[in-house]
Amino acid sequence: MDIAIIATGVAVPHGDAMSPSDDLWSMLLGGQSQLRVHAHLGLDSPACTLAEGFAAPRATALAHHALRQVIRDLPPERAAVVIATTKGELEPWLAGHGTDGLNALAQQLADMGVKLPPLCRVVSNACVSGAQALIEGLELVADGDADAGLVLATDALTPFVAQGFHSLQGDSPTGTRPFDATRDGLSLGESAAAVVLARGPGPRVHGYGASNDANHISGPDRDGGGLALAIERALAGVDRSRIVAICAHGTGTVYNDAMEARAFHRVFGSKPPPVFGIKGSIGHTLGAAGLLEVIVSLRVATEGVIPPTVGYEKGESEHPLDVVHGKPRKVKPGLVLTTNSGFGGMNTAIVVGGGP
Amino acid sequence: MTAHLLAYARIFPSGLLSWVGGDLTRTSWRQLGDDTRGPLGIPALKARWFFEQPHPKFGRMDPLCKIAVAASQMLARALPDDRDEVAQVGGTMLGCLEVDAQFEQTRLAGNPSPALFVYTLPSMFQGEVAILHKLRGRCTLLSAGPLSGLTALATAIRWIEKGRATHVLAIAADAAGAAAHALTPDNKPQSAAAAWLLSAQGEGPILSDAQFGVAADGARELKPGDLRYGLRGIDTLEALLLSGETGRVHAQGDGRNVSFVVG
Repeated sequence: MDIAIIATGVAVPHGDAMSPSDDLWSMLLGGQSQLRVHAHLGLDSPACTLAEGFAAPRATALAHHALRQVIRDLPPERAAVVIATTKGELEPWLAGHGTDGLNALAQQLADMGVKLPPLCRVVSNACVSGAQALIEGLELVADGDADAGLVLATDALTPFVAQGFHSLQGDSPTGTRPFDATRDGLSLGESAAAVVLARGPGPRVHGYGASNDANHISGPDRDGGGLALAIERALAGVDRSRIVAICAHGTGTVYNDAMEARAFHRVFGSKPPPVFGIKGSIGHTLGAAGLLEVIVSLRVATEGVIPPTVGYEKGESEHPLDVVHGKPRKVKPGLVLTTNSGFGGMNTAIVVGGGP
Repeated sequence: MTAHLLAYARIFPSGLLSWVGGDLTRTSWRQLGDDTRGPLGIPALKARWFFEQPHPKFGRMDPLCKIAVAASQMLARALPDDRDEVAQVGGTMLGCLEVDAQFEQTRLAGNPSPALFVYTLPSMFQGEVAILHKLRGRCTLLSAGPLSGLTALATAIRWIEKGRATHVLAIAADAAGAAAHALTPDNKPQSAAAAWLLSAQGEGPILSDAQFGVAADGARELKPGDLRYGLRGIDTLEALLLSGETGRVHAQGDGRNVSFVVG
C-alpha cells in the first residue's frame, strides 16, 4: 500500500496540561506513570485524566489539541475524515444539551472553526475504534474516495465511564500492571490522537487485520483464537522476521492479558517478539488507544527503541512473554505489530514501520 | 468481484419483511399479536417472534441490540456454513442513546448497573450478532448522520468488490425513545433496523460501484422516506429493490453523499 502516515499528533494528560507526541515519547521512555486518584471520577482507583474543572466538551478539546499538531500537513486536495470514539461527546448530552454523543464531535469541531469535508464519518467499535478508524481511512484513500485522510481518535474519561468499569469490577485499585502475574485490572485514561494519510513515501501501515471472537459480549475469547485470526490476517504478505516488537493491548486485566499471550504464542510459537504496553503509563484511553498505540509503534519501529512497560515486574509461566520493562530496550529498526481488543469481541492487528 | 444480495430483512414501524432464498414474507404487527406502539415507536420485541428456541438473553439486551439481533435472525438461514469470513458493517446514528440514559439514572442513584453498562457502546449489537451466528470476520460500525445505514450498505458493497470479505452482513439500526426525544422535541420515538447479506457469489440482485463524498450526476435520488435518524432512505431503497428497478441511486444528507448501482 503506497500510503504514508505523513503527520501524527497526540493529546495526553500530563499534570494539568496536555502533552504532544515528543512529551509522550519521553514519558514512556522514562517509565513514568501519569496514573493518579481523581476525586471527580468518584473512585479511589487511579486513572489518567486532566485536572478537575477542565471544561467540557472535553473529548472535542482533546481532539482539537491533537488535530492542531497535524492540520497544517493535511493536503488541500479531497480529504476524508474518520473520527474514532467509543462515547463521543457524552457530557454535554448528559447535562441536557447538545446533540447525541457520536455526532456531537464533528459538530463541536466545526464550532471550533475546523472545516470538515463532506466525506466524514465516525467509527465506534469499542476499544478497537482508533485502530479500526485507521483501517477505514487507509481504505478510503486506497480506493480513491479521497486523496488524503485525516484519522482522529478521541475519548474523554468521565464519571459515567469510570464508574461503569468499576461496576464491572474491571478497574485496578492500585494501578494497572500489564502482563504482570499479580495484575488485577485496568486503569482508565483519556487522550486523543491524529494521523494524516497521503500517497507517497514514508512510514506506513504494512498490514492490517480484524476479527470478532464471536464468543462473549464483555470478555475475551480465552484461547486467543479471535485475536490470532486478526494477527494472521495482518501478517499476510508481511515478512514475520522483520517484526521487532509487539505493542500489546495490555489492559492489565487477568483475562485480556492471558488471552493476548495465548494469541501471540499461537501465531509466533514459543518465542514471540518482545512485547510492551503503554497503559501502565497513561491508562486505557478506550477509543483513542488504538491510534495512539499505532503512533507509538511507528516511533519504536523507526527509532529502534522499545519503551518499558510500566507496572510490569514478573510475568506468568504459562505462555511466557518477553515483556520489556524497567528500562528501554534497543532493537534494530523494523516492523512493529500493534494489537487491540474490545467489548463485543472486536480484535484488530496493525503492522507499522518505515517505508519499504 | 461483484456483490450479490443474498438476503434482506427489516423491522420498521410499519411491520416486518424478509426476503430469503427468493421467498418474500411480510408480517404485520397485528399478525404477531401486538400492534401497540411502545415508548420506542414499535411494539416491544419478543424473542418468540424470532427464535424457535427460548432465548433468555434477548430480554436482557438494550433496545438497539434487540432490534438488530432480531433483524439478523430473520435472514440467518441464508448465512454460509463457514462463518469465519463473514464480515459485519453496521450503521447507526443514535447508537446506544437509550441505554446510556438508563445507565446514567442508575449511576446518579448511586448504584451503577453493570448489566446496563456493557450495552453502553454502540457496537455491542455487532458483538451480539457475532455471538449468535458465530461470525468471526472483520467488523466495523459507522455513524454518518442520517446516511449511516446507506453508508454501511455501501461500505459492505465496497468490501465485496475489493475482495476484503466473501460475505458481509450489513445492519442499519436505530432505537429512539425518551432519550432521543429529550435531545429535541422533534425527535419522535421510532425504532427500525434493516439487514442485508451480501456475497461475492450468488444469484441475487447485484449491487455495485459504491461511491462516497461526491454527488452522483444522473443518479436516481433516494427520497428520505418515512424512516428517521440513521435509516434515511432505506425504505425507499427497499421499494426500489423489490420492484426490480435498476440503475444508480444516490442519497444525500448533512452534506454527505452515498451512491451505488442496483442491478
